Amino acid sequence: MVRHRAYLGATLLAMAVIAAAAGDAVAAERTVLGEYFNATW
Amino acid sequence: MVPPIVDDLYPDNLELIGIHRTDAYVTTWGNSRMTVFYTYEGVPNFWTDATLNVLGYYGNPNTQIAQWSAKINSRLAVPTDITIDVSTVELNLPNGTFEANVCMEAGGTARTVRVFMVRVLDHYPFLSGYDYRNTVREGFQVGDYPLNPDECVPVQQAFAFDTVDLENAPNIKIIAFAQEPNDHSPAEVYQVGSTWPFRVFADGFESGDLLAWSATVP
Repeated sequence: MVRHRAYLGATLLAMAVIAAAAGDAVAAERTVLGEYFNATW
Repeated sequence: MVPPIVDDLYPDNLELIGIHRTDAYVTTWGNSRMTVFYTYEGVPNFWTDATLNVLGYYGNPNTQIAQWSAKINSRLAVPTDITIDVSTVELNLPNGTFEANVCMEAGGTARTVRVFMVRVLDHYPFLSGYDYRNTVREGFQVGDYPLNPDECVPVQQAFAFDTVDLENAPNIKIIAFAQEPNDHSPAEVYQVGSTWPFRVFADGFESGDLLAWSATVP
């Protein structure tokens, strides 16, 4: 029974890792480019 | 109105570059960016992601910040599938080579991106009465690169620092951005990356040559 629990735990852990990896496919966080055209008057 | 935008409102998700026109601080790339890419001469002019702009000064810093923020917020709401990490390849002062690792996420849409790399110096020029931010000192249109989902392309560019840069090394920043490959605006900027903080070490430390490095430096 203990061995079965260990297998179940390992399986659940693997599923959690796979789910977390799948979550990485979301859109990247954007950094905006600001271009400020100016002059020293 | 520039310092609060950079330091307080968008410290982590805005890369602002100052491009000077008709003064002693113009650059070849900056002139081309305005006259060839944007095909417009007026200053002040603020462009966000090469798609939305605010032309002119509204006479009140708070109003100006609100105008700029509206454009920045609009762009921050647009998803992107591109990431950029910028790193130092080699420093052999006064020269340095930097790499922008431009990647497309697994769920992205295959397309060609145009990569630019610029170096800026913050709080420059040193003129009283105004704090000029991230002034462009040198810039390059590095090239066009086809990208597929879950794929990266390493893009390298060499820069030549001068005395003013090196005397103010903590204020140097290398900025890379990937843009839609159009010769004229509008051309959406997909993502921006930068080196920060930028450090110049002594005795070849960053070049990987540790032979001359000692515990006393940097």
